[in-house]
Amino acid sequence: MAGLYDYTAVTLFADEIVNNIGKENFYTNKNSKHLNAPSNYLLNDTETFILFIKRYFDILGTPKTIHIIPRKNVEVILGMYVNMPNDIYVCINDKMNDCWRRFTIIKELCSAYVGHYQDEAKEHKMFKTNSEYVGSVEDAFEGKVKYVNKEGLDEGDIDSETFSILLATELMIPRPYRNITENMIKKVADNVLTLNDVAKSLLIPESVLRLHVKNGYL
Amino acid sequence: MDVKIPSQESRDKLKELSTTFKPLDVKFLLALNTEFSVEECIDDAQVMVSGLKKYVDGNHSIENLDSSFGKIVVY
Repeated sequence: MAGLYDYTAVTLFADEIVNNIGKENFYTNKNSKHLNAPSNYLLNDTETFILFIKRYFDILGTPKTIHIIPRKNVEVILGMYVNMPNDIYVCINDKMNDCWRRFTIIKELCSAYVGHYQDEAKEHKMFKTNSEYVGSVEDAFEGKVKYVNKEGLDEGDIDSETFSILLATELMIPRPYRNITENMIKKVADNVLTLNDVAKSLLIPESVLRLHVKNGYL
Repeated sequence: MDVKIPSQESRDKLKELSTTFKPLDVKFLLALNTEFSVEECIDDAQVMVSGLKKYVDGNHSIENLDSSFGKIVVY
């Protein structure tokens, strides 16, 4: 695996989520936004994942109401996630296009999902977190995640924000149909397609896809 | 440039907003590039947090929210 990260845990989490939701429920091959984009499987909608997270907290015995709150008067921040005893608030920058909106909602709810695991993991000394905040998506890709062991028997460090961003990206580039995207990336190298074509086929921000490719995850 | 919102500073500012508004966990995702200063990030965070506080204090009613809010969806 190229790139800076031990990526095992990210892919394990992603596969677990997809298996729980079911790939046929989570992904679709109908691109309602870009009808002329190359054919690919993409995230069905954000609602499927939102309802999955809601069910997840129900099962934990800590039910949450999830609020998606668009804000029009912010410039720098894409999204904010706030966890309260009975509610999860996901505030998103309303100026974002559809791809960024999808990515931000998925990422913020990944924070909710991963956050629980970290609480649990910390009790078992699986890993500890150093930071609750991240500078940017680019920082996350360029930063460093040290170790995540599948069995969680050793101690290590993990940046939770980085983890959530990478997890969101893995969910938005469907792993069960990864070969389709990989073939498209080869066509980008051959100048048959552009990276923008591939991003449109996935409804993912092009720059996020570029970072993913650049770091060797595709 | 390594832009990070200082955890303690943000928490302190949250405390200033309300003694009753104490999120268990707050996370921000910033724009793709890192050209913004910490101050700009904090300002935006303040806007987001203060707007959220208004929504929470109003018992999730959208009646008193201004036009800076888009369509809120609740699950």
